[in-house]
Amino acid sequence: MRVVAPVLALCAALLAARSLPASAQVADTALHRIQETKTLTIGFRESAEPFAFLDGSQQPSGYSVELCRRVAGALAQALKVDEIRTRFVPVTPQTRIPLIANGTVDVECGTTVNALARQQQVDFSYAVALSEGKLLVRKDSGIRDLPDLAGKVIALAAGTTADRYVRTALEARKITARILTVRDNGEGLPAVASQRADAFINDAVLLGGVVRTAAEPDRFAVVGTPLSFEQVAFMVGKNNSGLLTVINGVIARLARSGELQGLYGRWVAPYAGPIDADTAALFKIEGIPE
Amino acid sequence: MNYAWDWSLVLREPYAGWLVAGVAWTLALSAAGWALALILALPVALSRVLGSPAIRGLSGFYVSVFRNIPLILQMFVWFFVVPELLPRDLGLWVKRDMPQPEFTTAVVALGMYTSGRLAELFRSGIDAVPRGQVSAALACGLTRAQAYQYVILPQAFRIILAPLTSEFLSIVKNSSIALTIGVLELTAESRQIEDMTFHGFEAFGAATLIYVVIAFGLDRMAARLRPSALAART
Repeated sequence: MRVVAPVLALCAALLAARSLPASAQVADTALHRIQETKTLTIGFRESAEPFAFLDGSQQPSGYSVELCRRVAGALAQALKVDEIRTRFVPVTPQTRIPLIANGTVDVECGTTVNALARQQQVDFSYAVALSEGKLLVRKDSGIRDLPDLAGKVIALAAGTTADRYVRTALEARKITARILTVRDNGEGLPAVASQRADAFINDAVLLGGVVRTAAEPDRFAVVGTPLSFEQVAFMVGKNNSGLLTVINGVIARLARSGELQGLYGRWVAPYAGPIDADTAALFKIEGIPE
Repeated sequence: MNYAWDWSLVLREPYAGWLVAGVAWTLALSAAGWALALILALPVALSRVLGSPAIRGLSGFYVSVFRNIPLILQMFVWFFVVPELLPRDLGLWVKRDMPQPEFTTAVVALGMYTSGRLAELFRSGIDAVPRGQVSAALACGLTRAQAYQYVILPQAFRIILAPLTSEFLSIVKNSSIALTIGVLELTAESRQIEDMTFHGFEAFGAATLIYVVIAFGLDRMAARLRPSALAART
């Protein structure tokens, strides 16, 4: 029974920690931090092409990264300083929340999907892209859509929202299939290539990026009616409406001027085809006037 | 820190159910891996003590391979490489149609890795029993097999009981590496909760506590074995 006391003490400490945040959550801490350091710290993903990745010269690059660089310019104007520098910190799905919570990162610019459960922990900007779940399959498999996967094996990447919408879709359509969890996007392709799985389901744009990395891209196809309809957005800590207003302002102005559509066409279209009607409508709606 | 704590989350559905399922997989992995390790380790240990020089060399090689290569690498080799080396149809069966392919592969990897460590432990236990006892047993008319079965091994087992407990606790913790090949054990389920809710500290906090409780329970169970083992010795 000697260990019981320390365990109870640990529980007590954790419970005490729970009551702290109410006082710790001061509004707009990120904006204060940016003003003091004159630096915007951007969390980015190293291999989430085309949204955020390290390019040939090991520099952060991509659609989301490009947008966040523009946020730094807008922040300089808003805070009335000459320049806001940008500092890039690589994040993973496992580290993004702790790094935002402890203030290491001011804004995460990657491929994070907005969800109500997640909004209890962080705030999201306006959407910068739509995420639609599709199937990556071998062309010779004959699989065209979800019903073809009855009795087959479906690979899903850990840490994606696909797990939820795929299971829901399978249940709704009474399809039985085995689910294989793979570690990340990069491992979904080998799973399909080696016939361990028959389809890898994830966001169609990311799948487009995965196929481009394949040794023989022609063997694979991204197929199916979209299984999900989600928003890709930037993430900031709770209670940072000042910073969020600047970020959303950048997105709205770019959408209104048509520049956002141009950036999307330049970065994302090579992976997912030209801008579709839904995304065009999204950008039109987000072009909020001054 | 700008973090909204919500400890009740780990007790709510569906997350509580995920943790329970994760615990079940962790225990199943540990138990199955342990059984496999015990079955493999005893013959390897005995052949290291009793075998001809060639067999000793072979079993020594077995121990070196499975004990010295990091578990995560072994897990990857069993999962990604071995099926591709098999004949095509058998490889496909291993990848798709074998019952619970990820779980089975993880059990094999865990079991083989642990068997290398256990074989060394058994051997040192056998070595710790005074040599003269084999001769004494033989002089009493026991065969060599009987001498080991009734005299040497029971004593060796008592000697190694404490480190054996540590090995079992290790396999429980090592089973978390199975998440890298897609087994949704306790650590993987905690990650899943973190991804869905962004409440990672609570999810991993709960997992930590569960691991501590499991380890504590197993340690108590092993401790109950100890006095009786000692009593039987005198």
